[in-house]
Amino acid sequence: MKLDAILVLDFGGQYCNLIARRVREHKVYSEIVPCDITSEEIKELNKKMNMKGLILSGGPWSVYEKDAPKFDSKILKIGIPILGLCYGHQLIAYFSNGKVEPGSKREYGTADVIVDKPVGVLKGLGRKEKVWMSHGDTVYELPEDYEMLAFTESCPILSNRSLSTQNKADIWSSVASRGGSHRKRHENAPQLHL
Amino acid sequence: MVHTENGMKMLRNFIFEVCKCQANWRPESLIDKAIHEIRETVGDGTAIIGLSGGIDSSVATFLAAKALGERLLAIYVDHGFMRFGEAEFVEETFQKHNVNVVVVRAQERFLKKLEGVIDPEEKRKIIGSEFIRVFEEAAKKIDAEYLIQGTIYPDRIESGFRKHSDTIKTHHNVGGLPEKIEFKAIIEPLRDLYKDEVREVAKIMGLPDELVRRQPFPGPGLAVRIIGEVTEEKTNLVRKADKIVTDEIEKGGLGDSLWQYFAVLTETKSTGVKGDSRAYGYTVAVRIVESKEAMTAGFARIPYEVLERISTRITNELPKVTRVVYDITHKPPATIEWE
Repeated sequence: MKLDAILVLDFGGQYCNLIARRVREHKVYSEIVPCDITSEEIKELNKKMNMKGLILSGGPWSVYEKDAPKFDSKILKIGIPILGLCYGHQLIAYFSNGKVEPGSKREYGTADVIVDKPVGVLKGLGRKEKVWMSHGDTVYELPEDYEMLAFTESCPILSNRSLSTQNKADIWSSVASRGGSHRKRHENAPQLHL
Repeated sequence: MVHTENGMKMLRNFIFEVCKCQANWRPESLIDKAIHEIRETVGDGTAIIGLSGGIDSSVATFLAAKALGERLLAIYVDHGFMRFGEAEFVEETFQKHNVNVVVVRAQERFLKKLEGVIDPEEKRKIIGSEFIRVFEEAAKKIDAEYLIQGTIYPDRIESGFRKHSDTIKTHHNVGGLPEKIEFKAIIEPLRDLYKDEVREVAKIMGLPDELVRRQPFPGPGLAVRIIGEVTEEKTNLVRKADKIVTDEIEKGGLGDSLWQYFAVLTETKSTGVKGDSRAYGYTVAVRIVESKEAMTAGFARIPYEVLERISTRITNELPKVTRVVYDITHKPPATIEWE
């Protein structure tokens, strides 16, 4: 019997590597794969397990950085739900023609988030939530066919989802506690406690 | 993103609301999956594994033996700096569980290479590369097609990110693995697991308790617990002192709450009185620490009676030792090991 599984693409986020582990604690199988895995390789893996979702982890990169890790953007059209966290969030916006820019005001520590639509991933969250943030880059404009779900004062799009009809997949993403433009800064970044 | 509770809520939402996963995975399925993977990759071929006696390589060995039976050979390189009775224990334990295991005893080779070496990094490097050479020689004789390794997830982070399908670049706690031997593939059945998940698997598979609960032990072994030049005499001294520390701690029922407890043979000689005559001998340092994950550690507040028994036994049973000191430094600033 093939098990349901969630694949975590690891972009090198120090804390995000706990994600697979947390998924397994929910009794759902999860495996970590390098971030440069191709969509073909994912389809190959799907023969062994019942791939139900992908998580793009955070990482110490900016999407504009020259040596940022390669990412096969075909993965975004693969047809299974995707959750992008911090760097993963920016990456999705970047590859879906959104606008990612270095944040004018960096957010570290706690921030008030306005949850506009508490659906799907944000289900059950209050209208106003305190979140733990540490990010430099910010998604300023939504990609086409995405809708905005939550924002903070200085981060217009904290969370969004894909509404694309061509895309059968649900794509959700959110700024996580990490993900900015310089690696060094993150050595002192607060921890993500998923 | 969201701190603690909200983060978990969002993850749960993603798993169950969005992806509609079924919660049907059990840690036991890791075992089936690993066995299946090993069988599928190796086919009717043969495989070897480097067994260190640590929990990771032990679990990987049990899994591989279950998958391949006679077609797996475990190689245990005894560099001569193992703890008291360790090599014999590993050999016996695995043989008892029907694992093909070969112990290569190579103490002399290692001692020779270490003659005159005092720099700790140098020691580690020499032991690491000699270890690989001994392993290679043993592996070549066997001519196995596949290599199995007990790499776990944190090892992969340490050695940088790369695809696990990439050709043959490896992690090993004494520093790398054979580069001169070509294998058809390297299989790392524990590559996605954290340490406590490995322990869980070990328990489910019924690995002996002594293996599961072992203290962490550095790859170069007792050689880095001898400050200065490593000789056979010093190795025997520190091994016996280590055994006394271990015995007394475990007799006192303290073992489970401690991270590590061991003896270090320092370079300092000091004067003592034994019987009616002056003696000039070695100083042994006792290091006992508490820790959750080894990143930080504190010296343990051991009852004086236990420390006293340790000190008395060491000076009585090892006439060459005239003084025993207790290391009262935390990590940081000190490290757990002295070298």
